[in-house]
Amino acid sequence: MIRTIYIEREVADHSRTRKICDKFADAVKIQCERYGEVFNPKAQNFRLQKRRPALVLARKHNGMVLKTPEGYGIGDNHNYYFSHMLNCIYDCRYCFLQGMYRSAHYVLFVNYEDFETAIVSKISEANGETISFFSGYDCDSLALEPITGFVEHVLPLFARYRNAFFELRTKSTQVRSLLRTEPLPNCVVAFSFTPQEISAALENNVPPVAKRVDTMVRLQRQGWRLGLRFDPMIYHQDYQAHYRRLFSDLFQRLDAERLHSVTLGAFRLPAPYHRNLLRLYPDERLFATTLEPSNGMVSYKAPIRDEMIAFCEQELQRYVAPDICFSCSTL
Amino acid sequence: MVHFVVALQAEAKPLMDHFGLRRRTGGAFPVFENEHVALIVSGMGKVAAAAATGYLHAQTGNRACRAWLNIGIAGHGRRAIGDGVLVHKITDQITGRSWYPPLTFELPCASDDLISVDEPETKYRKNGLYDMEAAGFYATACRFTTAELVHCYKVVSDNLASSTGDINARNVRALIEKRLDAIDILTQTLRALAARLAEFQSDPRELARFLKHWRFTVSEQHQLRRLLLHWQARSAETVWSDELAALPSANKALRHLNRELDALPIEYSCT
Repeated sequence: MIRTIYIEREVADHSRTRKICDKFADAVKIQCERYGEVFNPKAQNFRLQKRRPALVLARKHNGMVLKTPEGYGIGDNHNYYFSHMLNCIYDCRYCFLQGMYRSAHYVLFVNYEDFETAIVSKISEANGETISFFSGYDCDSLALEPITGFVEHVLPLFARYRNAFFELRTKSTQVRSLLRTEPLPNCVVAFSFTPQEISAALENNVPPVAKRVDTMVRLQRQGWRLGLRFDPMIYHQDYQAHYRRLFSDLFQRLDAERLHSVTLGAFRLPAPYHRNLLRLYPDERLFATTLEPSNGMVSYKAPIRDEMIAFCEQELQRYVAPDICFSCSTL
Repeated sequence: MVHFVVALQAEAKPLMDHFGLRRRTGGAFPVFENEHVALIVSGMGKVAAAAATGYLHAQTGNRACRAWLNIGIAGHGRRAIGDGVLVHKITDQITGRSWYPPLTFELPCASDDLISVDEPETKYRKNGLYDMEAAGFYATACRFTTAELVHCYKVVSDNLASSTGDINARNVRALIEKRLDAIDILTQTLRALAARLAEFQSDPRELARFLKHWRFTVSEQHQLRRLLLHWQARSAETVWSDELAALPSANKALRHLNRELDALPIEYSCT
């Protein structure tokens, strides 16, 4: 899977670096000074690199925990996100990471302890108020967990601070570390879904919807709080039938009353990322529709967006209480 | 097309014979080519390699979707004479700057670090290859195309046991000749990658037909290109019709195209 590993000189002797390198004994190991030398050069093509991304092991120096963008969150006043990784093993065509980064390599920051320190510092600043942390913004929270062990490392911290809410966002079925852990009431494992038709067309390498539902059922049985994320919602001819079936499939298996939250959001991208994606994937149907710029973002025209959100909200009301449904809007 | 940049005539000769390259007449650098490969002999050193890379780019039509391969001999403290090595890190010894050619394909050989020096290296202080061109070549070629298409392949010509003094034109030719298989694989791989890139950067199928039929302003041409790409992504059918062809102006044709696209359903189905 990983055939090339770039290693920052500063973390070459880090125990996590050694452990990860041992897992990929046959991979070519290349030393670099800073991960930016490999990750940031201009003359790179994300689409070509995605054929065979390398792993980059690095140290994050600053900006460990950041405020979430406007409209991202589920009701709390203090919302932060952090990314122990940049990029994702999946290849979802709608993903903004393709437009944001020049490289498709996976960057893993191995200094987990510094993330912990930054999280604890934000918790202290919140003076006992509820504070939310989102993981899985610049990567999938769990997809590489068997290699990184990041979630397993960070869960005990959230066990100590019950006023700190922690959301893992994922499309992965790699939940062994969660199943080994006592469920935390302040931790939510949020699974992202699009209908199987969309997933098959746009979410390359992502486990099928049915397998992810199986995983959710296992977690829910064990007592983990779960979230559902229908974001981005993809407009298409049969979207009503496809989303209706997706909701029905999910709520046939899941206990809706024990769900933490459900969020909805229409497909949208920051305008510069959208421009990059058009260049990378001119042959992609998803971008070959009338998308409109608005407030620096690009999305479906307002009537389509509103119709889609209204329809899905109404459908979801058949299964879940309205007070746990949130619409993400940055437009 | 793949562009080879080599420093010495002796490195070029086996490649010219193997790929059946013919010399272009005239010019500041000797250039040899066939339909799929163009080769330039740069002379020694980073500056010469950079200049030759720029020259070859201009001589072959300034095209972006081309692959570039620097082939040549290099020293290495520990590797055996004749080892063929793909470079995964290039460092300019003078500036200390490094580049990392992305390895997006199955490697046909071992890979290693390389240090580009200004004078022949005989002590091999660092563990890696030593050459005199790669840094100049790589930095320049990456201005013309994406880094995934730019690589350096070196054959070990000298090491601690066999010094640079033993190198002559005859054994340089023999060293390259013995690695033609790996060079062949690399060339094919890079050509396929370049073709893939060209494919997703190519003009939409019906663009030429539209441009021939109406007179578009530059801004309208951009619009037309975008709309035709959208059409192509969403339909296998032609957008051309008698009704469209009868429209009197480019502007009206664009409006028609927009309407047709709006009417086209966006469909995804499980296959």
